[in-house]
Amino acid sequence: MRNSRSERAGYLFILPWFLGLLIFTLGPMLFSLVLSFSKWDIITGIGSIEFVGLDNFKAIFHDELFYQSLKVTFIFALVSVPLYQVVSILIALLLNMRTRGMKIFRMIYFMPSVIPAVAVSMMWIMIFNPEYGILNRALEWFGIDGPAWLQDPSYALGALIVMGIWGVGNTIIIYLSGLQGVPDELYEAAQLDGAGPIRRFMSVTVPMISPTIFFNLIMGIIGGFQYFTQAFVMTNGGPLNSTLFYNLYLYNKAFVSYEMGYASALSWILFAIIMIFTLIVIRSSSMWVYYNGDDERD
Amino acid sequence: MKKWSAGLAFILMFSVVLSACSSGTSKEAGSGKDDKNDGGTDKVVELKFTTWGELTADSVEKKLADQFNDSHPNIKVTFEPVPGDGYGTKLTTSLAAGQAPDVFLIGEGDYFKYVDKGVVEPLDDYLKSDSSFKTDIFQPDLINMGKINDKLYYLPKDFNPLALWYNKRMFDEAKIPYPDAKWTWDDMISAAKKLTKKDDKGKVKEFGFNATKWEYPIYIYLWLNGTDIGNEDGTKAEGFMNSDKTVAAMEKYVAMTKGDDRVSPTPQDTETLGGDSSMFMTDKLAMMVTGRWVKGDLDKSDVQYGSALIPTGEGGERASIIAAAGWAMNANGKHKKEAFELMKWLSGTEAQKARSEKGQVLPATVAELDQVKSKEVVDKPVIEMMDYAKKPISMRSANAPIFTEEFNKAIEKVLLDKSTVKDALDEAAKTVDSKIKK
Repeated sequence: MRNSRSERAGYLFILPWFLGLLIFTLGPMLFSLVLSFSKWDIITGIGSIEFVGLDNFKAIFHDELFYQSLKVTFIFALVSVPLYQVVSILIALLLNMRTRGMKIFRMIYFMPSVIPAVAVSMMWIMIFNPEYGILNRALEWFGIDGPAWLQDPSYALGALIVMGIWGVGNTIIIYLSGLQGVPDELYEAAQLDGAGPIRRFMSVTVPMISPTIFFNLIMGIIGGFQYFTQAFVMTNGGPLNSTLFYNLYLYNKAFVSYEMGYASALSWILFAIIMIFTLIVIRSSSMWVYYNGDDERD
Repeated sequence: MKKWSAGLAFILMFSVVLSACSSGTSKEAGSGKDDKNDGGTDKVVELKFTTWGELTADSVEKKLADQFNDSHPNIKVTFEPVPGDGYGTKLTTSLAAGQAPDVFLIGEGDYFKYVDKGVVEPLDDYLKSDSSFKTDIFQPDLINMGKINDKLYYLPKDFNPLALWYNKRMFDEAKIPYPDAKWTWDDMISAAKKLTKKDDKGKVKEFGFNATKWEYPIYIYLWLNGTDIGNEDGTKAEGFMNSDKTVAAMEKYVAMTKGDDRVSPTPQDTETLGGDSSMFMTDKLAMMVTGRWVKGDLDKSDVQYGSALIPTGEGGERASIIAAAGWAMNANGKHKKEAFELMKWLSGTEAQKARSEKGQVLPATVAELDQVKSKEVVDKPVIEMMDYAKKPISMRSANAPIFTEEFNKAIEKVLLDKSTVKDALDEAAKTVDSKIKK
């Protein structure tokens, strides 16, 4: 009796979250799945949803902009995900050193992650401004005539990738906590065995933080494929669609040309892509992720 | 793994049940509301109307709503403004949900689209049965704009004809006479060349004219050259977007922003220098073709400016476009008769006077506009430009977004040196036509 009552209380406690999940996440997801097989322009109301079978998907696979947006997103993900991980680990290593005032440095590196993406984007628009921007002014000192970063199709995507490095504070914090979980005795033992700093990093640090790398990699892949805000604010896909990210194209289809069915189909394709990449990482994890304590089980 | 998928299946099932429930309850709630309204005809009818902007508590529209409520005891109207950026999305989703306001504001570029979707009520029957309100109080061009397929859908709120705006200080410094009514585009370009100044490194620091990538001035220029980007009803691009005339005109237009003797900033220059009006205000741009809305910003700065007629074509032809905003009635509204009352008030003489009092906008009514024309020097050419107004493709066809998207892409390619004008426009025309066929 007492047991079932406390059980009921437990369910009551999770009910608000569960209802939220149903109404605001799973419900709309289901609706968009239905929409992906339909044609709907929103304006004329729910009654005008027209079932078209696989037409949306067929059209997508003949859509030039779909491939362009895939290309942009893949390039971004392939370059930015490893780049951000490496940069984050390096900075986390620096921030893990025991020096005076380290807390201040940690705060400085984390701060950009607290600023809203739109505000950050506005700031970087000014930094990248070819006429007045601080970046090209700085390049001028070295005699380099900087490009029109965001307005030049060959530089815009690169500019966005570089800009992203500035906002890796979240990843750094997670790596930092991973690094702090590495027991000192392992380093001491390695040092006694004659391992140099690089050897110690490769043979002790990397395996010990591999679960953290695993987590950040998955989050990075998901984030990379869903990249939107900065491109929306800063370039809106231009110039010449060189920064037309998948999510931006999806947004344009849904809320600029109001092709809801087409946009829903696009979103399910993205869902599948992210799912596949995440699964690859998860499947491969047994080969390279080391969990402390696993050895005892074997 | 098995457990997980069973759980998911359960959740999906549950959500289907739940969503079925929720739609059931919402229907009930809706019908309940209906009963209330049908039950008491002498009860107060509630109306909503919306605009973009006008967010302040003391906005003119808010005051007009209050006055309307005072004079119509049986109607209670609420004004629900939406910030400009989110207006289209908000309106569209509220139309989809059947919750849209009874009267809403639409910009001229979207006039055709909303009528095409069938969400705007034609007004002809209401006008016929109401002898107290005549549309001939309005500028004929504005009423003409609101007509689609011979039916009137929009009543004018305000409007902004395009005109040529020039920076007087820059003209004085270059000792060039101000633009006059006889100017052709060639006259303007040669004046722009004299007004363009370079620094020691050969970088342009003051531009003569802004050959913008914005479509409206481009359409005007094309019309003056006897061509357009599509046919009259927007069903064909081949032979229009890539006709010899269009190619020749666009080559000339693009030449203004390219090469050593360019007179215009590129779209990138404009963007990095903060937009054409701020370039104009800081004496970096001498001339631009734009709508009268720019006056609000210009008046806040200390730039000395004037307005003139947009230059003519070779043979003295003129053309212009009026940017306008019109009131539309929700075709699915519940109280259309009352909504029409509200539209009459919002577009009528009193409202026009209230809005144009401080000179921010021009009144849409003939009598009031004539008054402004006789007093205001700067507004005179702007008002005169109205007589030459034509309908751009967006006001003639629901296919317009296809035309503008491909056309813009083509021009962007040309400006970035990725293609010649002819190749880019040929390709664009082909793409447009293939997309329309679908």
